[in-house]
Amino acid sequence: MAAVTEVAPAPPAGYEFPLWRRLARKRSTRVALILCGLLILLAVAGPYLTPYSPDVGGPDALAGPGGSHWMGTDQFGRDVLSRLLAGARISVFIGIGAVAIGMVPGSLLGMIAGLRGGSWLDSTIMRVMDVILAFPVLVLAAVMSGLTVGQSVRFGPVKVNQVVIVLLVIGLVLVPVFARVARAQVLAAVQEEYMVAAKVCGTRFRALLLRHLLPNIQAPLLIQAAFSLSIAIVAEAAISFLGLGVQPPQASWGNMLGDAQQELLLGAWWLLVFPTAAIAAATVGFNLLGDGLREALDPRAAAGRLGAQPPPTAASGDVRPRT
Amino acid sequence: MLRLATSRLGQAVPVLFLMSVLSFLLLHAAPGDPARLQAGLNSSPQAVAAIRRRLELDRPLAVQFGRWLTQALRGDLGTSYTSGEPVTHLLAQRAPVTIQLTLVALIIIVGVGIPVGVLAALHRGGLADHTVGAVSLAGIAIPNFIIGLLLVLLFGWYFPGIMPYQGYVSIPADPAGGISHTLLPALALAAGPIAIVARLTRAGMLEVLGQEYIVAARALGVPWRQIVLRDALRNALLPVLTVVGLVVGFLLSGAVVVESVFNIPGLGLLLVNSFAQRDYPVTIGVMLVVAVAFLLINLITDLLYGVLNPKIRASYRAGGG
Repeated sequence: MAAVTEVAPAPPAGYEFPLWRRLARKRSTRVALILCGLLILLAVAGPYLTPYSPDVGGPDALAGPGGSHWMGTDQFGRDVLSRLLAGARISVFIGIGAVAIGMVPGSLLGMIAGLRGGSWLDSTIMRVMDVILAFPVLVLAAVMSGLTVGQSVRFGPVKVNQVVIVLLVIGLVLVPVFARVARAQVLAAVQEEYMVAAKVCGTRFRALLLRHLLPNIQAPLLIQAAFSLSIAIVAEAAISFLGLGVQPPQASWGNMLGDAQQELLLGAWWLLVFPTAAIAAATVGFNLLGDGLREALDPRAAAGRLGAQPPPTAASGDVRPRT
Repeated sequence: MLRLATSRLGQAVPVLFLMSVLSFLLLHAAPGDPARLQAGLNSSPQAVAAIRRRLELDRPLAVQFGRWLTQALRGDLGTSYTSGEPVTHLLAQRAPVTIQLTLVALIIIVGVGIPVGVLAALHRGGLADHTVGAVSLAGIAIPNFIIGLLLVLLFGWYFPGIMPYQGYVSIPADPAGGISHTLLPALALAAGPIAIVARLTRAGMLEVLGQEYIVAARALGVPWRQIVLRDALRNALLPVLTVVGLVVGFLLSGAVVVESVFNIPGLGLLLVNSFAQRDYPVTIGVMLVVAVAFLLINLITDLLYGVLNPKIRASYRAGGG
C-alpha cells in the first residue's frame, strides 16, 4: 500500500498496438484482467446470484462450509457466500467511486500547481495536500467516517448513507496522492519542447492544461489509479473492520472480517478465509493490472521491476554475478 | 543540511496549524454530543447542560479553539472528557506501546527484507528470486490486520499455548515476555513492507550491479563479496531508504488496526476508543502526535538521503515542495 508510486516521465507516444493487446501480451497481466473482470462481473450480477438474503439470519448459525451453505454461515446464521457477493458490490462501488473522486480533482490540482510551479498558488495547493497527507491514509479515513457512524448526513436535499461517506472519505485522502503524481509529471513536462512551443504561441491556460498536458501525463495517472483501486478496497475493509465504515446488517468484506474476529477463537475459519481470499484476489488483480499498465505505457519505469527484463544499460550484459 | 532541516521544520508549522484547525472543526461539526454521552442515556436535560458547561462545550467554537490552541502551545493538550486525565499523560502512557510495536516491526522488515532482496538479485531467476516474487505478492495482497487475524486463528485455535496472541508486555520491563507478546503483531505489520523492501532492494541491486564501476572493480580484482556488500549495497539502498521512511508512516497507520486485532493498548486503540466516546481532546491529541511523528519521519528520511548521497543535497535547493 505504498501511497505514491514513483513513475518516470511518460515515453514518447506512437505505439504499434492498441493498449489492450499490449496488456494481454504478458501472462500476469492477463491474470489481472481476468481477476478484475470477474470482480466487476460479480459486483454487477452478484445480487441476482445470491442463494440467500445476505442480511437476514437463518436457523443454523456458525455452520461450516458444505451442503446448503457452500461457504458456511456466520454467528447470526447468515450465508457467507451471499454476504461475500453483496460485499463485492460494495467494494467495487467504493473502489471506483473513491478513485474517481481522488483522481479528477487531485490530478487537476496537481497539474495547476505544476504549471504554476513555484508560485503562491503552487505552494498553497501543495501545503493543503500536505495537510491531508500528514495523516496516515487509514487514520484520517477511519476518524472521518467514524464521526458519522450510524447516521445519515444531509448535504442540502441529498441524504447520504454510510457507504457513500466511506467512499467520499477514501476519495478525499486519495486526492493528494494524485496531485503529487500529476505535479511531478507536469514539472518534467513543462521543460519539453511541445510545452515551450505551446506557451510561445500564447496558448491559453486551460488549453495548455487539458489539450497539451493531460494527454502527455495520463499514463502515470492511469497507473496510479489501478494501484489506488486496491488501496481503496483495503481501506474500506480496514475501516469497516473497526466498525467505523459500512454498518451491519449490510454486508461488506470489512465488517465480515469484524464478525469473523469475534468467532476466531471458536475456530470458525470459514468466516475469515473467504473474505480474505476475496480481498486478496481484488488487490492482486489491481496491483498486477497496475504493473501491466506501467509496463505497457511506461517501459522505462518498468525495467528492473519484478518479472521485468533487466534494465537495458550497456553494461548489464557484461556482468553476471557468480554465486 | 542544517538549512534544509530548519526550512522543512518551518514548513511543518503551518501544516500542523491548519491540521489542528481542521481536526477541531471536523470533530465538533460531527454528529454526536460528548456531553450527552457523558451524562448517560436517562439523564435530565439539566444534567447534560451542566456537563456541557463544565466541558466548556457551550462556548462559541472559535473561543474553544483559541483556548485549546493557547494551551497546546504551552504543552497542555487538555484533559480527557471521560477519565479526567491530562491528554499528555495518556499520550505518554500509550506512545511507548506503539513505538515498541513499530520498532520491532521495522527491525523485522529491514532484517529480513534487505538480505532477501540481495539474495534474489544475486540469484536472479533462481529459487530465492521466485520465492520473493510469490511471497511479496502475498504480502502486498493481504492487508496487515488480516494477517493478524490469521495469526490469531493459527495460534489461538490451532496451536494454542505456543505464542501469546493478546495484550502487551513492555520489552524493557520483561524482555522475554515483551518480545514474545510483540512478535505476532509485529509480524503482521511487517509482512507487507518486507515484500516492498525486498522488491526494491532487488531492483536497486540489479541496477547497480550493471554499472560500469562495478565492472571496473571486478576487473581490478576486488573480491566479489566486498563489491556486493560495500559498493553495490550502499548505492542500491538509497531508494530503499525513502521507502523505509514511508514504511514507518505506514506502520503507524497500520498499528491502529493491528492494535485492535491483538488488543494492544497503544495509540491506535486510544484513537479508536476516544472517538467512539467523542472524547475530542484525546482524539485530537492522538492525531497531532501521529501527524508530528509522520512529519519528523519524512524529515529524517530526507536528511539521511542527503547524508548518503551528496549529489542529492544540491538538488534540494532547486526542487522545493
